[in-house]
Amino acid sequence: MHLTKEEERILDGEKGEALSVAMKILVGLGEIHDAERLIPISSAHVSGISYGNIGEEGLNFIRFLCNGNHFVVSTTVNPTAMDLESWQEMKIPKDYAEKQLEIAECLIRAGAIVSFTCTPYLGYTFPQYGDHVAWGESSAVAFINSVLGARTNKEGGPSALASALLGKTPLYGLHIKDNRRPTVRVIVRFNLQTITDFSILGYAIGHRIRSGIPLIENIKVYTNDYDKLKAFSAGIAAPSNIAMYLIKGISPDAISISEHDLRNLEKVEITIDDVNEELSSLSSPLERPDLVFFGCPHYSLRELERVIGYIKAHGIVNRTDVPIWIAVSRATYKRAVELGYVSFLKRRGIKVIRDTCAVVMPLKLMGIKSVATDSAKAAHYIRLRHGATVYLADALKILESILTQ
Amino acid sequence: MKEFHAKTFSFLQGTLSGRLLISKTPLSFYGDIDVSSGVIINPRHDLYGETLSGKILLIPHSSGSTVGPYIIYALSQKGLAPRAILTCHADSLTAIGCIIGNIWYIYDVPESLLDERYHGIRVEISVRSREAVIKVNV
Repeated sequence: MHLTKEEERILDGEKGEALSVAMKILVGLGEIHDAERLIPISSAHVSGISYGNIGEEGLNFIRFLCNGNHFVVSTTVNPTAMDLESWQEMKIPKDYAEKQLEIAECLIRAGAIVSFTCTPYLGYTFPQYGDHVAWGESSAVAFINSVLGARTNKEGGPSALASALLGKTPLYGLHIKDNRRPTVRVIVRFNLQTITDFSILGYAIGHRIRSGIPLIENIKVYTNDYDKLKAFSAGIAAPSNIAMYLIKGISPDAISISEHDLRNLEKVEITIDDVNEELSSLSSPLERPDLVFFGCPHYSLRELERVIGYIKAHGIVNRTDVPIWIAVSRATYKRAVELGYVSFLKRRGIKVIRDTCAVVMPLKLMGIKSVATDSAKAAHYIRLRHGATVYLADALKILESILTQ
Repeated sequence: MKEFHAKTFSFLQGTLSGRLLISKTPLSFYGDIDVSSGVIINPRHDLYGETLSGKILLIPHSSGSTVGPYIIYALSQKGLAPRAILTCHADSLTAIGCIIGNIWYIYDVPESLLDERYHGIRVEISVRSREAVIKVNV
């Protein structure tokens, strides 16, 4: 692998031990993937920052890498284990909260944008077609590769941090145009209605295909249906290694697909039966969940408005003792406060939370054993990581069943 | 004496020796290992009960959570990490774990070394300009 003189000096420790380790991460990754060189990136998104996931070990490493150093490109960060401002209300134990706050402080001191969201492309960094970036968070990676045509591999916590500190990434994988062609054709054989349908369809495809770049055919979705594409991206990436898909008319990289590219590709059909099978494996009927959770990926303003419209139309107030939480990014939260949405929902017994989501919150410590959600990705991880029971359905259907009994 | 050839990073060089700890089952650093003792605690893994400290671990590749690298880092901070991790297939998670844990990582190791008869045997590894030579005393 070719390194510039400056890159070699950083590797040798001229700019300190932490940056030397950061450079070793990028060079090491590049070498095992036969990258020619490092290339500049325009942004980074760092995942793996929730204390529940990375523990004391992860905190120690982030402290070591970030101490005294500064990110050199626009850097956003993933959700943490709690709302950093109202964690007491969420019943997060104090010693746990202090660890999570320290992780957040390390990142902010190094210059991270105070975002704490899995949807940095809504209100923070919006990479353009052909931009090289180094992003973690499987749903965001799938979204920006597939919908925006930006180029990123699926980075883990340490490599995204290294890229944020050095402004570079090794040139391999999805950074190379030739590696962005379809590897399998998926033909959708049913009509999708709700955002949750897109989430479950994505999950069913991810479960079936597992890796590579599926070309999704016969799917009705428009370029500005970001909520559906966001849900689909999260669904497809959760049970698989898929970091990119292609949809004609949506994905910038789909424009150059030729007949030749499609020749000899395996075709897979996904029917309503496949989707129902996934649904029944993820979802169990629940009389009364311990928590209703929406916002995986973080809700957009438009998704909040859909819930508000329903609540207004039916004059609904949550008088049950089931908490209803909707997770959003800080950017969406700020706008929702200005528009009066946060206070309206609060009056109706629904809490808008920031900086976190039910996938990374310490559900066990919070005494939550069952969750109703509208996201297949959330259902997957809540079952797997937290051992809780999950009811998966469209958001309005969940509200109806809980609030209008 | 047998020699096996494999690859490593350009920034590693020198020699190192230790006893091989071999498993044909992929290892999940997050979950299979107790971080406070460096012992493999998954009863379903072939290396159940083994200590990693000071050994040369050879596995086909790692598996499981992306938190794996932080576990190697933690073991290393506590002096409980293996001296080197060897994999048959290049593996990003193990590579990053070894880099941040400051231990050797060797990949593209021939499958012929992944053999029970080499388990516990002393090997010497020398590394120069990305080439690794593993000498086995048999």
